[in-house]
Amino acid sequence: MNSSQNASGTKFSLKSLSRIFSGSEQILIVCIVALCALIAIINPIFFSMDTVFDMLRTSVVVGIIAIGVGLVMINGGVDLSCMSIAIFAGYTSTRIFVALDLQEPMILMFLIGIAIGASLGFLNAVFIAFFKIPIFIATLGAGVIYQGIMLQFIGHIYVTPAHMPSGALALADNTVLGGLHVSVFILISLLVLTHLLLRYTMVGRGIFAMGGSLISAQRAGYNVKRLNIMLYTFAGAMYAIGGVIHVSVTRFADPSQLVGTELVVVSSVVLGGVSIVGGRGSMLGVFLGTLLTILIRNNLVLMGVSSDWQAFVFGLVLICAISLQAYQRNRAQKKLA
Amino acid sequence: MKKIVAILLALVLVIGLAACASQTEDAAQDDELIIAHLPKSIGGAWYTRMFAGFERFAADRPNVEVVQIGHTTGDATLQIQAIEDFIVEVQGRNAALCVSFVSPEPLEGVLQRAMEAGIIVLGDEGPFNTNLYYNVAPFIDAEYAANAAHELASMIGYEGQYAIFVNNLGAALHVLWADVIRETMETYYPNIELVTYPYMEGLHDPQNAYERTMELFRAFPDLRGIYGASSTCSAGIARAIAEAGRCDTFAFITNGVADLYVHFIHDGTVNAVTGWDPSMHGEAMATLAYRIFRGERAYDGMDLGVAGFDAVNVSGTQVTGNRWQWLTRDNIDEIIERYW
Repeated sequence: MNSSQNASGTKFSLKSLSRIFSGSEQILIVCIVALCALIAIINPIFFSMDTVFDMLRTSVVVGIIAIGVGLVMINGGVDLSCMSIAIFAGYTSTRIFVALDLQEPMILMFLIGIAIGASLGFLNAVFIAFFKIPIFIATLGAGVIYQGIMLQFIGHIYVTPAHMPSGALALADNTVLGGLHVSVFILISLLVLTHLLLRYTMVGRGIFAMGGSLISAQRAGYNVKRLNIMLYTFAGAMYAIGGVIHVSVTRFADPSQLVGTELVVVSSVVLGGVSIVGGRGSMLGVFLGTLLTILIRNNLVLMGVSSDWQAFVFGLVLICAISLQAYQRNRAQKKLA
Repeated sequence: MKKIVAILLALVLVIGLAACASQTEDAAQDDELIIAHLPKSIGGAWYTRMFAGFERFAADRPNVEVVQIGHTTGDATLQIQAIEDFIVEVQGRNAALCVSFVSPEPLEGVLQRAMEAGIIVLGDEGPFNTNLYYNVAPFIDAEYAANAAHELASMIGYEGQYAIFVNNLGAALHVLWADVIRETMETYYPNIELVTYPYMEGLHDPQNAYERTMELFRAFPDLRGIYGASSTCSAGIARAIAEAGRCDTFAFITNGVADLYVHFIHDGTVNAVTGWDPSMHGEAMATLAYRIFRGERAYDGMDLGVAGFDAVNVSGTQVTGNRWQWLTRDNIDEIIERYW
C-alpha cells in the first residue's frame, strides 16, 4: 500500500516536472547535475554555498545579455552586436555620471544605459527591418560601428575605480544572505519578465511565429516591422543592463572590455535549447544554458585541467551537451512521426 | 524611394572616406615623420597611457605626427593586417612603426616588408625579433622578475602556494617573467609551491581573470599569493581578492598602471604595483624612432630624455632602460601627483 502510494507519488511528480520543463531543459538539468557530481567527485571542495553564490554571481552579466540574444535567436537570427551595445551603454553612462559629477542614484545610471542600449537596438532593427540586411551581417557591422563611435566620440580613456560613481561601487559590494550578490535578483526578475512577455503576450507569440516562418507570420497578420523594432529595442535594453552591471562590479569602466566574448553568450543560448534557426526556445532554457556554460568554464582548474587544455575541454563539453540535446530532439521528432 | 536612400548612403560613404583620407593626406616633406603605435589592443588602460607618451613627444614637434593603429581585439593576425595597411598608407612618406607585440614571431614576415619599405620599426615585448631596428624594454626583464619573486616570497612568509597570471601563453614577455619567477622560487624558496603550470591566462579580459581567480580560490583554499603580469587582467584578480574577503591575508603583486590600481592599493587588495609607466615607455620609443630618422643609432648610455631611459643599455637590437617602479601604499599617491 505504502509503496504503491509512493510509486504513484513519484509518477505524479515526474509528470508535473515534465510539464514544467521541456525535453531540452530536462537534458540540461541532467547535464548540470551530472557535471556538478563529476566536479565534486574530482574535488569535494566544490560542494559549498560559496560555490553556488559564486556561480550565480558570475552568471549575471552573461545571463542578462543572453536574454536579449536568446530573443533574437528565437526570432531567427544571431545578434553579434550584443557586447558592443553592452559596453557602449555601460561605459557611456559611467562617463556621463563622471562628467556631471554624479555619484548616485544607480537607477539613473541604469536608465541612461537603457536609453542608450534601446536606441542602438532600435538602429539594429532599422538595418534589419527596413534595409532587409540579414541579421547576422547587420549586427556584425553595427557592432563594429557602435564600437568605433564609442572610441571616437565618447572616448577611450578608462574610468578608474577611484573615479567610479560611488553608487556603482556600492552595487559591486552589495550582497545579501551571507554572500549572494543582489544583481542575481535583477537577472531573475528580467528572466521572469521576459518569460511572461514571450508566453502571454501577442508580441511574444509574434516573435516565435517570425522565427518559425517569417512569411507565415506576415500572413497571420503580424506587423513584422513593428515586432522587429520592439524586439531589438528590448534586446538592446537587456544588453545595456548587462553592461551597466558589468562596469559596476568590475569597478572600472574600460571601453575595450566585453567585446570579443560574444561566443560565450551565444553558446549559453544555444546550450539553453534555443533553436539557432529560430522558432523555439525559452527563458528557463537560456538561464540553464548560462548556468551550464559558467559551470563548465569556471571549474576546469578545480578539475585539474591545465591552461593550455582549457579551451579544448570547454569546446568538447559544449559539443557533447549540444549533441545530446540534438539527439534527444531527433528522438522526440521520430516518436511524433 | 529606395534609389534615393541608396544614393544618399553612397554619398555618405564617399564623403566619410574623403574626410578620413584628408586627415592623412598631407604633402610629404623631407623633415616630416609619422610615427604609428600599434598596441596589442586599442582602448585598454595600458595602451591608452602608452600612447599618451607618443602624444607628449609630438606635442611640441610640428613635423611629427603620431597615430595609433590597430584593433580593439588583441590578436596577432589583426596586427599583421594593420601593418599591411600601414605600409600601403605611408607610401612616399617618412614613417616609423612601434609595435607592442601580441605574439612576436608571427609578425616577422610583415615587419620585414615594412623595413624593406623604408619604415623605421621598433618593438616592444619582442626581445627575440630580428626584423626591427631595436626592441625597447624599460629594464632587464630577468632582474625585474627575480625581484618580484623575492618580494612575493617575503609577503607570503616564505612558504605556501602561489599562482601566476599571464595575459596569454603566447605573450613572450609575460611568459619570460613568469618563468624567471617560477625558477627563482624553486631555487631559493623550496617551501613555496606554484599551483598551476602552465600559468593561468587572463586573455585580455578582467572578467575572465576574475572568474579564473575565484576558481583558483575554490581549488586551492590555502593559496597565499598571486603575481599578475597583465595590467588589464589584474583588475579582475583584484576584484576577486576583494570579493573573497582576502584583502588583508593575501599577497598580490601586479604589473600595472598606477592610476588604475591606486584604489586597490589603498584598500589592501593589491600589495604592490610594479612595472613601469607606459607613457614613459611610449615617449622613449617615439624619441628613439625620431633620432633614428635623424640618422642616429642607439648606443650605450644614450639619454632619451625620459625618466628611466636616461642612460639606456644597448646590446645588439635590445635597448634597455634602467629602472622599474615599485609602487606601494607609501609612494603611489606621490608618483601619481608627480607624473599623471
